[in-house]
Amino acid sequence: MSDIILEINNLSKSYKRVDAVKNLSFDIRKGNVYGLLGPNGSGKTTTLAMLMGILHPTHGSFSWFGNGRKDSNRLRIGCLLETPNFYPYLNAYDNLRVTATIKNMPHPKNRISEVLEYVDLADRGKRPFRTYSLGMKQRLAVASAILSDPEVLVLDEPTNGLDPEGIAEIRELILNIAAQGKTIILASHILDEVQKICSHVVMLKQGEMAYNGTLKELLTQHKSYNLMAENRSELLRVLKNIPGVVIQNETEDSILIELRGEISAARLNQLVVEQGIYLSELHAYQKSLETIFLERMKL
Amino acid sequence: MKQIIALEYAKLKKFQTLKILFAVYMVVVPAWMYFMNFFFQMNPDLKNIFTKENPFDFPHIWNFITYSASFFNILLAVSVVIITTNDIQYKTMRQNIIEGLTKHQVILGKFVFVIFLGTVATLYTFLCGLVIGLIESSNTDVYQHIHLNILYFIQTIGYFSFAFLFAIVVKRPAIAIVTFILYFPVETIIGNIISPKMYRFFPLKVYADLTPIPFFKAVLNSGSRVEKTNILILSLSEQLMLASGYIILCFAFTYVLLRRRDL
Repeated sequence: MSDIILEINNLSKSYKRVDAVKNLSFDIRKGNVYGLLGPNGSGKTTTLAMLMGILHPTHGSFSWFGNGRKDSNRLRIGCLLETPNFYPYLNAYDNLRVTATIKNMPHPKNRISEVLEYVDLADRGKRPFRTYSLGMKQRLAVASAILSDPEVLVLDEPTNGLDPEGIAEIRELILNIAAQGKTIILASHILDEVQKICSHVVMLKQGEMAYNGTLKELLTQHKSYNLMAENRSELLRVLKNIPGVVIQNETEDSILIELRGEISAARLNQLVVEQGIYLSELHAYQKSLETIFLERMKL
Repeated sequence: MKQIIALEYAKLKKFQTLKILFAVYMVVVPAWMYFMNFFFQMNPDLKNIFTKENPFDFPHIWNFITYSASFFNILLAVSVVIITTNDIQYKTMRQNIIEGLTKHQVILGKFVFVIFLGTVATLYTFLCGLVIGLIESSNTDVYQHIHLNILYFIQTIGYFSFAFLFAIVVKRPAIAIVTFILYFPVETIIGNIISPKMYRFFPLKVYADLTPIPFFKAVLNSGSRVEKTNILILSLSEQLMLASGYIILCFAFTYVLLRRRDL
């Protein structure tokens, strides 16, 4: 299918003692924003490094744009991988000049000024890279990734080292780029960010895929509700006997339950009423991506 | 190719270390010539052991200056080591590849740089020889033995490509510089232990013999100090073939290494 940007089949990377990535397979489709999630050491950066041609997969394959692993594929991708890597003795402009030359950009001058303006390095970027703060380095790396206006952006922890304002700016930037119909792969620990930006999620756990699907599905996979009734202990007793109800948390003021299977909130309400209990409170509870992520990583 | 040259230029135009090393080379080469001349004038007996000729006379000056300058192009070889190891340490080589450069282009870029550096060093050494010769020589026979400058060029390429190989293998700047410089005496010792007959085929020996010790032929011709049969020198064409072979081998080996390596 033509809307497949990247196809990954059984991608694996093993080192002497660890299997960093195990049999990873998923597709990246055009125009979506993918969040690549996983704790430290779960294989996110290793995966991206293989996709960017700097690590050799132990086995498995991948194909960008239906072109396999050709070097020229990478010219169509803007990438920020791990730490920002630039020539310390060059200033921001000259460093981007190097990127522009590799990307074969014919007249990069205006575009370089434009992206430097965008990441707020137009003035301060005149000093050599080695004098930059972590935030400035990171912003230059973002500028370099978007410089050639690529079809695909691969961003590994792009908000690393940025202040809240900087984080908000990068989020804004990613959303803007996504709105242009570009494809984005975003690896991040800041799940709040991922929840705000991504349409799809791929979760990694110890090098293996733990989830692959839309963010919406992930968030609504198990519906959670907060309940309360006049007689709290009676409600609890009744709930425990209804199949499909899992009590997750109970406090003095409310009971948090999760509904699994076919049962809906309306049906639950009906069942409780049949037992002579009237709910004083029933509202849907949206778990955050962070909660879901932590739950899944514990399994 | 234009892209590769533009890329190397963008990377190196503001690299101060290279400029400093080159400035040192530019000062040291003519300075050493005059120092040696001064030394010979102070010790005419010592000089007369080697030759009765004036080293600044054409054509002797070509031999004299290429031999002298060959010690200092090690300085420039060190700059090749520094630039390459920096590219690895700063992870900029990795970044270049992420951005879309091929490993083949990485090697090509360094080859272009090595050729550039060798060309500039050779042109400068040639100009020094020409100017000093025109000032000091008692004749103006510029063209005789002028081909020694071309041999000097091949020698610089040889040293620089060897330095590049060292940098790619060792990866760390300081260690690469030290091992590269240490390799010179180590090769001499190992070569002579194995056998002087084999030693002349060793890479740095082949490169070094392209600009042989001046007045050596005079020593040979005198026949009094050294037995001719003990002197093992390859013919010029053999030397050129071996030198080119080693240069190709250096780049081919770095290419294989880079291809296999995880960056």
